[in-house]
Amino acid sequence: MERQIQRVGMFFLLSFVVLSGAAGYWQAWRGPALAVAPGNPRVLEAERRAQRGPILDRAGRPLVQSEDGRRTTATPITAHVTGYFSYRYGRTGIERANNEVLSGREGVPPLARLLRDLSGAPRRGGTVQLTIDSQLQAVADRALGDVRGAVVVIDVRTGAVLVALSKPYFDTARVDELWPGLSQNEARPLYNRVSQGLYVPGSTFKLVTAAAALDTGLLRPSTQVSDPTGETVIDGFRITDAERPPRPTFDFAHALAWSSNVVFAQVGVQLGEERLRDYAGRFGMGRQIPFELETSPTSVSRTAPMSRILLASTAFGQGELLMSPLQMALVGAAIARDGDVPRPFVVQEVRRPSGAVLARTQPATLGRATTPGTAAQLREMMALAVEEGFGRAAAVPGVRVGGKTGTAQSVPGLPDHSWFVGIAPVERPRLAIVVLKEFSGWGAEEAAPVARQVLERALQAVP
Amino acid sequence: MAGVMARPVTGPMATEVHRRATPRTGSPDYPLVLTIVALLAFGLIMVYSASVVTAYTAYRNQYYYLIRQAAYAVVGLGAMVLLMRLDYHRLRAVSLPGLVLSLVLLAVVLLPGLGTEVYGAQRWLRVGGFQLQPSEFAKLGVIVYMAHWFTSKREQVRDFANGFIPFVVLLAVIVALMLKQPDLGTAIVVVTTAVAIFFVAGAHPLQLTLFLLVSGLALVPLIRMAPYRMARFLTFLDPWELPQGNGYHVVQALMGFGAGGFSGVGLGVGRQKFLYLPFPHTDSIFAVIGEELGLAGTLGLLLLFLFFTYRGLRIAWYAPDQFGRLLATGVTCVIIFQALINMGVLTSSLPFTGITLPFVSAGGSSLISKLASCGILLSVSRQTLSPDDQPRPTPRRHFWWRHGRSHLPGPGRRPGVAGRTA
Repeated sequence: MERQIQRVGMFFLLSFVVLSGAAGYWQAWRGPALAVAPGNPRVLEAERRAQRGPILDRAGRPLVQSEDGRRTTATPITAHVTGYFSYRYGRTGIERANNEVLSGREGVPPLARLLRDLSGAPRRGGTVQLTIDSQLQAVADRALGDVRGAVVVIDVRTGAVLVALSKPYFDTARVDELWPGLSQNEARPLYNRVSQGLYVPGSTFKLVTAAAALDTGLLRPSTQVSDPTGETVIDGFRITDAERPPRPTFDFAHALAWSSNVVFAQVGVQLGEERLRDYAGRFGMGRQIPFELETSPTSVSRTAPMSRILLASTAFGQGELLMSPLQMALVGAAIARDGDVPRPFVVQEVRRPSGAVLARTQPATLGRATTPGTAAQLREMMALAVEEGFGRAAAVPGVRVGGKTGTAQSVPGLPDHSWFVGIAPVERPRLAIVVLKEFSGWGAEEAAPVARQVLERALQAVP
Repeated sequence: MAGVMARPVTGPMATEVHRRATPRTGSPDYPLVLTIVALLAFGLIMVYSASVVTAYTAYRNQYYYLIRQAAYAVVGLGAMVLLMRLDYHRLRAVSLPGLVLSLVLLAVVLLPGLGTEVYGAQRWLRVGGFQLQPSEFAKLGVIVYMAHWFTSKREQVRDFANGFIPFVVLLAVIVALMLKQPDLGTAIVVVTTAVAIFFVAGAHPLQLTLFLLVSGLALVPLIRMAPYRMARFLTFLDPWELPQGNGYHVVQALMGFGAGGFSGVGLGVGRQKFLYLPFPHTDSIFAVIGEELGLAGTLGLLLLFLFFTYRGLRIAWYAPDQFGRLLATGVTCVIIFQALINMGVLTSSLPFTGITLPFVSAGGSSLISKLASCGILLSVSRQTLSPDDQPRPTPRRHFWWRHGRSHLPGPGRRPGVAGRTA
């Protein structure tokens, strides 16, 4: 009997040791992680009490602020940059990327944080100042009109994004009540067309093909090419130009200006898959672009190796290409700054709740796409496209603008997507611009005029 | 069983009758009394802290649960003192009526109209203005009856037909009634306690193995009958799999433990009790303790229960006879098993089951029945033969260490010790 009681005692002792171990595990070992786990009421509650910091544009104009514990927005046009902040639906955009600073968890010195927590004072968040120019973005919004699409303007000297407009947009402060409509709308207003939208680039991709051809020495701008009929056949597939070039033979520079699919199909086949993919990759395609906002990686082709006809179609911008407006803007920016691809950024500066600067984004480069010589040749070819080619509608009086239009097949039966990528001024470029209008038709007629209106204002705003 | 009842004494008649006439009573085990009072006081503080929000939300009175709990504590302490002063041998006469009453109450609570259903379980009887939880008192009834019955059986405990079969049948009836409510947690506590009593009474190891096998097989249809048991069972392996579903309760508890860290967030300032953690002042009070008092609080509470275990089993060890030994074992086990299961569930060490933390959780039936049980334990302690105050010819084996001496009763043992041969 006595031995049995002893054994019961030993069993209990062992159980207590195990239980102490479990308590120690959760409280000491996992404690710090559990205390800030998502869904932990104390985290949510602290967030609710926190005075979330504001998001400002480049001039210090508030885009999003907090009032009485609610987020208020100055304008819906920057919705996709600031993103939304919702207890129910999470966070996107800068509200997500800079949540730690905005919520006041980061950027507060340890001693100040301790005093704040001990006194129970509500947390105050830091400030995020963007590179976005909200007035310029409003110009882009009016110029684009009531269509789905995107406008991107980059300061090519730094990579700072001045305009990142995605339409349709919405009021981020009302995301909770608007959610059912937003999430089910077939126009997909929630996703950021600038960096998440993937489209066939159409003829704007000829810039990449041309960069590869020039940089590898396959062609020079003055090399004579011919496209007498406006169509050709590769492996049984007919390739046609949107508009037959005015002369049967011309130089390669005019092939870009007149957007000859026939010439670029042949150039693509001569370049080969490897070199075409290589140059697309040098501009950043196929990779996740490092950016504060959500981005979707672009792609040259899922098929490898590519057939000759797929390679030819890719070279003039169709095939299986998937391009985002942001990536297209980087192609323009790289050409504008002698072949060097800038790292795009939208956050200019992050400040502590006290106002002291916590971090300032330093311009950086993603790598070299072409030699400076090739980039210079491409700039002149883009200028020619605006002066003599399809890009005429983008011309700004008194400034040399370079550009390339694109008309990309969309869904069968619907109008094409209309693209324009431009740089200005051609001699010493400051800006790269991309305009995308979904389902609206010709790039030359639809996207190029929008680019002109935005560039006129942007060149004044950015000296 | 009637025959069992007809025999009032177990040991050699002369000795028993003599001792019955003049029970040798000393003072109760004061360290145990102190432990109980400490647990009770700690419980009252934590019930107040954990129930402030719920009480205010439901009754607009933050002291609602504190006042009720304090009243229950007074009633429970009264019952404890009464039972402590009663010679525990007298319980043998009421053990069968006690068991029958327990079974009747367990059956009555299931009747529609009489039992009250709360959170999908029919566990409460409305008596006047109070709610009575029969299963809490049934635990006590089972312990007393089992202790009495095994004492009567003496060596027959090891007999299959006379020991094992009746034990299993009786236990199956009680467990079936409890599962009908359903109250799996209490059923598990009753089974583990009964097995511990059976073990100490001298069960054959084969019988225990067989029992474990049978109860393991019984779990299969139980889980089949109520699929939520399987879901709950799997949840404890990864509570974060469904943090808003099955895992919610445990996840909220673990977040409380995590937030508490080493020293806790401070008494009264926990956050989990703000309607996040279910049942903060009853089943989940251990998580509130972990959050507000940290590892220091949880380990402190574990030490209190460990000391309770030590004193309780020590009383069983030095009990003057088999009945006292089994009673003390049963009371200690019922309280400690329940505490271990409650704390194990909330730390995600055991599958989920709703059960209160003895002495600490709010709840009248639970508190009063536990304090009454402790009264019985203390009554046994008043008659223990402690080596400290009883000079004896041959040193007894001491509780916590062995000296390698034979287990056979020595010739110089005191008369009246159970197991003594005439």
